[in-house]
Amino acid sequence: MMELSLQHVIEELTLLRFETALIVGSLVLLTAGMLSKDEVTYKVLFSITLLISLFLADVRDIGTSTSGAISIDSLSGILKILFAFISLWIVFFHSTFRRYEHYFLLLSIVLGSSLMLSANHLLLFYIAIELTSLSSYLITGFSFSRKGYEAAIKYLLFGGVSSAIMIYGISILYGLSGSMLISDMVINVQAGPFYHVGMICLLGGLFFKVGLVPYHFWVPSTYQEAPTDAVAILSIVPKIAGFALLHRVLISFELLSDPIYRQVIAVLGIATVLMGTFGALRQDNIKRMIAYGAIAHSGLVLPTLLIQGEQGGLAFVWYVTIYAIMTMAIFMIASMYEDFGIKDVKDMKGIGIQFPVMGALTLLILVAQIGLPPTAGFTAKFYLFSSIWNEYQASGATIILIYLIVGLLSVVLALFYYLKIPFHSFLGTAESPYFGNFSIISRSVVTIFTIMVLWIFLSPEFLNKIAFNINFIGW
Amino acid sequence: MMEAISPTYFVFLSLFIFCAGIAIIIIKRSAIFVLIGIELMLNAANLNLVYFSQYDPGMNGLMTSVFVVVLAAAEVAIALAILLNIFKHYKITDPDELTSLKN
Repeated sequence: MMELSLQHVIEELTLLRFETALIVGSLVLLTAGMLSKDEVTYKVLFSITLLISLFLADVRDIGTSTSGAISIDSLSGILKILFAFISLWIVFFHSTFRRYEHYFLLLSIVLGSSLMLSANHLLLFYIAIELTSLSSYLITGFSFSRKGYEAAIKYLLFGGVSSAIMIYGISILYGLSGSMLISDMVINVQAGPFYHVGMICLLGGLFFKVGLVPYHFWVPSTYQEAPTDAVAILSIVPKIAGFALLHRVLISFELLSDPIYRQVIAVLGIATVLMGTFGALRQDNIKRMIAYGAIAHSGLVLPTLLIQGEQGGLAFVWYVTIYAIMTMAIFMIASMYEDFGIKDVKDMKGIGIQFPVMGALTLLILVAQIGLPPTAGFTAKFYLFSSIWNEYQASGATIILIYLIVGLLSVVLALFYYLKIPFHSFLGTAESPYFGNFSIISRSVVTIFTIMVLWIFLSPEFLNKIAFNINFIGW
Repeated sequence: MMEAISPTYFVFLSLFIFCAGIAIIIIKRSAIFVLIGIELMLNAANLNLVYFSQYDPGMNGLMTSVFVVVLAAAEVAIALAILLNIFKHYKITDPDELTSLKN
């Protein structure tokens, strides 16, 4: 048993300084919220917390704590910076009054997700996942409407069942290996029927977090009813963290060398892409349609986990970075239309003619979501599909080829549902002109995001340079 | 210590409790019963964790089970808060009757 001295505690706190800053910041926010009634205070504290943690994060800071419970690699360093950077834009959402608990819960989601990135101990793994999940359940109900509560209870019941199944799987794996450290478990374990039962239960909990097919039911109703700024965080931060954690589990337990697990994961991924794509075709509600699109995106990120070596890691980081940027932009646009009372595609008739700049920005972000040039969405999909193709040529597995074909098919079908929005807003005729205007702050932020999306397409060297400077340990 | 009792009994007992939890979730329709089912599943996992931790000098399983209990309580608190609000708006607690969110 390791003797824990003060020296060790300080050492671990240095490794976890990003998370420590988030914890301290969220507690300060909670206290200030009780004293102040002004939303600007909450927003300022929220962004100061994220800026301090962004300042403390360092990609080169990698290592394992003395107890082995926390292990930080360069991938988690990059993703933490991405989380803090993306969450900062939340303060620019134009919305009705938000309580301080709203911002506290958003910080908790970011905190839980960044702990998920560095968890190597199954207890920390479970606590991090539950911290993210419990905050997500609560924030889904923060629209304080009938439907919001309905979405929240459905999300909670699904999530509760899947996390109970996951902890049962963890208990079986613990019994078999006698250790809670993920990196130690595989050494002590003989693969047998019990091991596979435990493994499947554990993977199930992770699949719920990232919204893969048997566990995707919560996604559309949650995204439709939760407050739009919360959905923007929910669809980016915990999902990416879930994929990074899933990758750590797959690598640590050496599941990728087992052809059956590879096959099953690939089949689930294909089913996810198809479910998301065909589900989105039938939707009229804007946020629900984006939710099904996000399910399809989850299915498209999954194959990068099956590709070993630097290429898989590069495709993963590229895809999730661009996914984060364009998802944040699309939810900001959705919230701006919501200010006009527009929730359905059919209500948008002629709005693009009355506000041409807004219509053009919407069109560009949607083109990025589909994955067509001249946007960064194309670059991400290009990297993704070329790395899947290389994997097919290296392994010759038919399932990978099917995955590639289904992925390409989903891009074609994405044209039909995403372009419904510009179709109605440019070609429809409004019954009466829209009153009011879009908030100037939200408009400028969406413009910044659109420029980012175009600029990454035109000069991808910038992101490539970052990616090449980091060597992917353990991908 | 409990060395006298074979591990098989504990594994089967926890498996039985776990299956009972799943059965409750599938059969019963009320959200409260689903929460009870979740609680049973968590306690099945706890039984495993506590039993297996006697083979682990670090007692990690025992520690984990304490956290599982606390997190289960937190989850139920959130669930009841949401359910109270649902009951205020809809006058029902049956998740099957909540059908306003459909495609």
